[in-house]
Amino acid sequence: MLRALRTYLPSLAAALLAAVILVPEAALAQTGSLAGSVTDATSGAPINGATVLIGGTALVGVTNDRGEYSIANIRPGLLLVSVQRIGFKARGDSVRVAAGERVTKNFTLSATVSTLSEVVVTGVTGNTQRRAQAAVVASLPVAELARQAPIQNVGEILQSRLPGVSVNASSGSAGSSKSIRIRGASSISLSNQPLIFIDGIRVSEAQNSPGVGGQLTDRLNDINPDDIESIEVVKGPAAATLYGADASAGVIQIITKKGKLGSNSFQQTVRIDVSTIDQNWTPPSNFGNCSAALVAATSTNPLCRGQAVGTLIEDNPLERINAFRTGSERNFGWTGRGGGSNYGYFLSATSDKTLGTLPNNSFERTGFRSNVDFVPDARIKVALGLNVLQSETALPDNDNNIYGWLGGALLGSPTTRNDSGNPSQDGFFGFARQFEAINSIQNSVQSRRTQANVTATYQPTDWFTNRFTVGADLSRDELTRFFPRNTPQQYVGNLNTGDNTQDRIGFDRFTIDYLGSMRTALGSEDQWGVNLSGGLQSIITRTDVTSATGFGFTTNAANSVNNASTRSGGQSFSEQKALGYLGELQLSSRDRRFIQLGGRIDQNSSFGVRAGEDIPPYFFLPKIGASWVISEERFFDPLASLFTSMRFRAAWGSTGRSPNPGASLTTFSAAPFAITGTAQSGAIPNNPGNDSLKAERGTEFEAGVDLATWNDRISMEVTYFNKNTKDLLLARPLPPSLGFLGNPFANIGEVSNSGIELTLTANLLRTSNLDWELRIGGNTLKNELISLGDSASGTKVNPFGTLNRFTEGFQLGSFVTKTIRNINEATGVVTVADTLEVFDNILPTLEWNVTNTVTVFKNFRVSALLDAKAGFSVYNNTDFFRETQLVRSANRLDTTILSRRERLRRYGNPTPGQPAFVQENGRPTTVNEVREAYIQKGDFIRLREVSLTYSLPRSLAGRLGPLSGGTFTIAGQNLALWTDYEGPDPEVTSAAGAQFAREEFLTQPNPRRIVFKTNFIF
Amino acid sequence: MTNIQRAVRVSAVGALIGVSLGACADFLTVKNPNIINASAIDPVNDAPTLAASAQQNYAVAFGWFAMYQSWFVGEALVAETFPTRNEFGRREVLNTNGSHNGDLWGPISVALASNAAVLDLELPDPTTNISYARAATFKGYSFLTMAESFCVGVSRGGPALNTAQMLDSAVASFQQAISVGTANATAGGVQLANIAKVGLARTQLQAGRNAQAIAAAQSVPAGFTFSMTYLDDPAQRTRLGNRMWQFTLDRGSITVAPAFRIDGDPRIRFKTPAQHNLAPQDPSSGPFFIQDKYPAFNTGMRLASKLEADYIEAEATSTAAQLALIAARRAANNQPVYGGSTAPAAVLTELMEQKGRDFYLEGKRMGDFRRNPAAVLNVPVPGSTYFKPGFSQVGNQTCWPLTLQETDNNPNIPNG
Repeated sequence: MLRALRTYLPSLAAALLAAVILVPEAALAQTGSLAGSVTDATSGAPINGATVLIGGTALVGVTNDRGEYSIANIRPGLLLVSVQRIGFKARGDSVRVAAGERVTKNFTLSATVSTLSEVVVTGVTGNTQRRAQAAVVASLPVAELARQAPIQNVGEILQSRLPGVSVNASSGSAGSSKSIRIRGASSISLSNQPLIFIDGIRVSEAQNSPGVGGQLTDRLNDINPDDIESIEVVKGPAAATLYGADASAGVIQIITKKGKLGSNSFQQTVRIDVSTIDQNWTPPSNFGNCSAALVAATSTNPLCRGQAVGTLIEDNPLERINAFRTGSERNFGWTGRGGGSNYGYFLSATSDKTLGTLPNNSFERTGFRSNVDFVPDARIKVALGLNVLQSETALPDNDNNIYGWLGGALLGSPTTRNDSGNPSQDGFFGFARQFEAINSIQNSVQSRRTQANVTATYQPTDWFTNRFTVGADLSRDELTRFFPRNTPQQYVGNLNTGDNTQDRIGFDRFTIDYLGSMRTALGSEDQWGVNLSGGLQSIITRTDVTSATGFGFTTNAANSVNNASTRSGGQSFSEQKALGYLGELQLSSRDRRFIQLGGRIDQNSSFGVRAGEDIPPYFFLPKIGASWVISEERFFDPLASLFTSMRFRAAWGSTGRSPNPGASLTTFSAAPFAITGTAQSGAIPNNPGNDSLKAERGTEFEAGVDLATWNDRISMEVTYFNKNTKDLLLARPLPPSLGFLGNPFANIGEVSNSGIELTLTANLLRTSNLDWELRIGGNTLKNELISLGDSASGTKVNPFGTLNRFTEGFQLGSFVTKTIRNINEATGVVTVADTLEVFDNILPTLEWNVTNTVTVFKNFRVSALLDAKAGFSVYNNTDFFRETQLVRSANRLDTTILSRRERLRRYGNPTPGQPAFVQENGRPTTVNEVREAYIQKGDFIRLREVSLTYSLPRSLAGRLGPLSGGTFTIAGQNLALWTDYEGPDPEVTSAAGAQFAREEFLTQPNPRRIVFKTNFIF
Repeated sequence: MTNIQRAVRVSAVGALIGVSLGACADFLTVKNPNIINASAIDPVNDAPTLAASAQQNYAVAFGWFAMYQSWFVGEALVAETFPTRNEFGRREVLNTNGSHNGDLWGPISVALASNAAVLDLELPDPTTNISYARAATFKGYSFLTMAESFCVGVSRGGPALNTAQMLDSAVASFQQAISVGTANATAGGVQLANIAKVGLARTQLQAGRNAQAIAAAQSVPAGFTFSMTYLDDPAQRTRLGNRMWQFTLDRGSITVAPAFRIDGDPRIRFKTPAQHNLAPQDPSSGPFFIQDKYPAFNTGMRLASKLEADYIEAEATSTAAQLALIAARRAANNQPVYGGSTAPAAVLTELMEQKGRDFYLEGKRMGDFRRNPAAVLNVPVPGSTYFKPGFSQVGNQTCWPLTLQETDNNPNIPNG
């Protein structure tokens, strides 16, 4: 059947072609127009940004700040006109327009907390109103949020605002990456980051690093929040089927601001943000005991000199050198938005600069965006988007780095303090590696990106819509890691001669997408709706990396690699192509009962190709769903006074995750040899390959209810989801003795993620001078590795991993340790398990957030966001190192701090001649396998954001020259943290790129930001 | 307006056709020059390259083993922070140790498997083919290194091998190498045969078969020496460079142990902290006495020599032979005449002392220690306090366990 589709594909293309070409050349000369206003039904105030649509056409009008719209080029006849705006009930009406006539039609909209009439564009075809969607596509109105909340990137926009979307900062350094997990984690070996689309174009999800510790930069940080109208999140396979065999981790669609078609207006906004960033953390001191040499009068140690031998001394290098500074942000943005009768445009320019709290940490972003919409006639709409930007992230030498800011300081010893003036450790870990040496290291990633997209919507008849999208994300990253030449030997080895590593990463991703949609209404009063959609999508990704390293420079200024005495280089290239055909049938009854059937067939260049075949196999992804707006049924009338709206929905769907380029192939690895004294090219077995390789298959069932109650002032969405991923693409661990360098991917095993998501919005008070809105979001998560293969078929894989282990019946990457069985305080013997046992989760099992927003006298708004995660642990490797490897901490050296029992738990038996820990089988073991004291509960509650906004009243703005409005906000981020975790911050991780690691090791905690935001509207 | 409509239509239709037709042709064919597809390798024509690569694999492993063994048997101190590497200094290596798997078990497994894979090829002139001689030589050394270091070994995903089985496998490989290398008769073939003869002697001695060890040792020609060749290639230092120098210069990991800071013996070359400007990674490891035997990335590391064969022969022959060699080695290296006890145990201890100096940091001391635990001195003492604070005391291991990655994933090793 699938092969048949291939056979008939040209015919299908020809049919679509015919449909597009054979369009009657309608006589456009005789058209009419429609104009009017949209106002709030309660207050009578104009509604800005409402979308007025004319059914069966591409015609759209968007209201200006006076609530006015205008639509031209309307073919005469009876029109179905609808008006939509988030936060208001959609309205529709019929209007008759005659040739040459300008008809006025005004609308009033009523506020609602119900979301049923919202329009979503992600993961759907056909009817795009939320009421028709069987699976949840979460939507976040960013434009409103960005004016008030202390957000500066997409990660912060998503953080703690959508149930099931878990965002985790890798560190508190400016410009560093965030991990995003949607409904848990499904893949063991492949990325669990969701796909990112901007206006239908898949863009780079890259997180690069010049090689500094565990920190990564993040291409998501490049995107200017000013440009974003909304973000839609497709959470799982039930909704993501149409995104194909790579979307099982979910899809984030960023919808940028567009012009205001038909508004006949032009509005400018100037944004100026300034902020201070406070590290808000006191690093722990280092301790040590003075030796006889150190207490002598000739000692160069100022802390020990003159003290008694054995004196416990203390030093805090970061505080002593005043390492942390007050960081700052100076962000400037301009937007221009407007439109004429058949065009709209949005322009923006931004220049943002953040200085982190460590001296050599900064993030800069400069960008320009233009979005133009053009409706040449009632059947055609063309949208063009161009985004050109440049960002530069300078990362501090830090994080999983014993010589970095935190590493050098937290692992140093006060016994090395030295006031002789000669190069020394002087309390730091590295020799002569203090402030200047650490600060001089340059770690930067400069990215230049061009994103372009064209979307043409062509509606030859009122029942047939064609949407064609093509676009590209072209990025060029320049990565630099430079150690300056120095004489005090601040670094190690050749680094002291000056060492410059340069990487150039060219990343091109192209998206080509076509969707045709045919709809019709049947039966009396158009009782039945039928919508048939079909299309195809192709995504091509190319990555080209060139790198060069040189050391040995004459001067630090002339540090291009060409000037190095010793140079080396490298280059790599990879390419991946995906192609999918999709189709969907949506049936509806009276616009309140919906059934969707759909599917997608995918091919990917990374799938395995069996011997004798020339093309990769197909991968079929079906979906089915239903939505029922029960509150619109007659039998619901008795409950109508209680529930304003109620909808039940259920969906089942399937997506996948494709293997990486070349993963299916049997490969050798380039392995040069030098057995005769010169390097020659060689090769050794790398990967045994797998010609049966296919995508992971994720299937998901979700069901839920959306309701609005209490006079439409409380809305609630409850969703149960159960996502099951089979045929995991597991880099099956081979026994090293087989001699392969790489582990072959195989489709083995099964992972389950299930949980409940809740969103509750309550308009608790709604008076003319006081409005109080409460939003509560939350989700549970049960992540479980169901299977690691099948013994009968010989695919069984044993549990693997040493700190984060993959064991059937537990969370992916669960923490393991040899659990302590008994502590004998009398003898000091600590008995532990014989084998590694699962100790705790790494993924939170409960996340919730509460936002309270109070608006006083219409113009003052106070908002506070509290969020929490629970049910997981963090490996506090910083304390582990400071207490058990390098003895620096007060816990270890000041024997009065911890109880004997706790000291035995952490450090084991101190008795000479006795092993630190004894297994139940009598064998000795060490603290390296007994880490339960350092796998610490990470549960926390954080006061994430507080903001106070004053909106300039229109009446007042009018007196201030050209100003038509404005907002002034003072906001704080990360203001308070409640946790039992012993490290500075349970949210950061020193292994930002790792799939399953929740480890803090010399990682900068999230700082506190105070932001003053202004928006001036002209 | 009409032109715009046409342009949009033409663009849309053109792209649609392009995508559709592309799908029907070779659209999914991609370039991936990162990958060496196995189908591009010709087993026969590329055999010399594969064999040379496999020899280099052993050179990589040899460097790692020499370094880790130096910590384990007290030639050097661990001057770095990695807890995994300090486990070697403390003679308490856990099977979960990542360095143990990544730096030792992995590389020796790759060396063994890649050399064995060359021997699996059906090559022309099998009795004289130098690729066979090369692969057999370094397969033998791979088994021997594994046997000297690991309590239990594994070959290519097979069942667990005890020490005797590993040594027997090494013997078989060395015998094949000697046979083919000798028959090859080229300079390269003969050299490989001589390397294998030293390996065979060492293996037989380790297995306790002294007569065979003596025979093999005597077959090594006088003056023979062979060092693994290393290069200073900045882009390939982990594969082609001298590991001892890499971990001295780049990581500050290796401090010469106090017992080997011997002035006046040219065999142990080191620098005091005043003679260099490098710093140890972990300053708590004390004054940084760096080894100077391998002062560059391209310094070779001796693998086999007639001198080693002489030590093997002496140890296997008699106390008198040992005394004779001791005298010769002392005289050759400006050391006073041995005046200690001539009791066999004392002489053996002195022989091990001289051998320890002659082959300092050459990865031979661990085998000596396992064979003669009482005669090899200055190995970290079980139960003693580790030289750095905070760590557990020294353990009592004499060999290393199989790694968890092997026991977890090898179906032929039930229950680990």
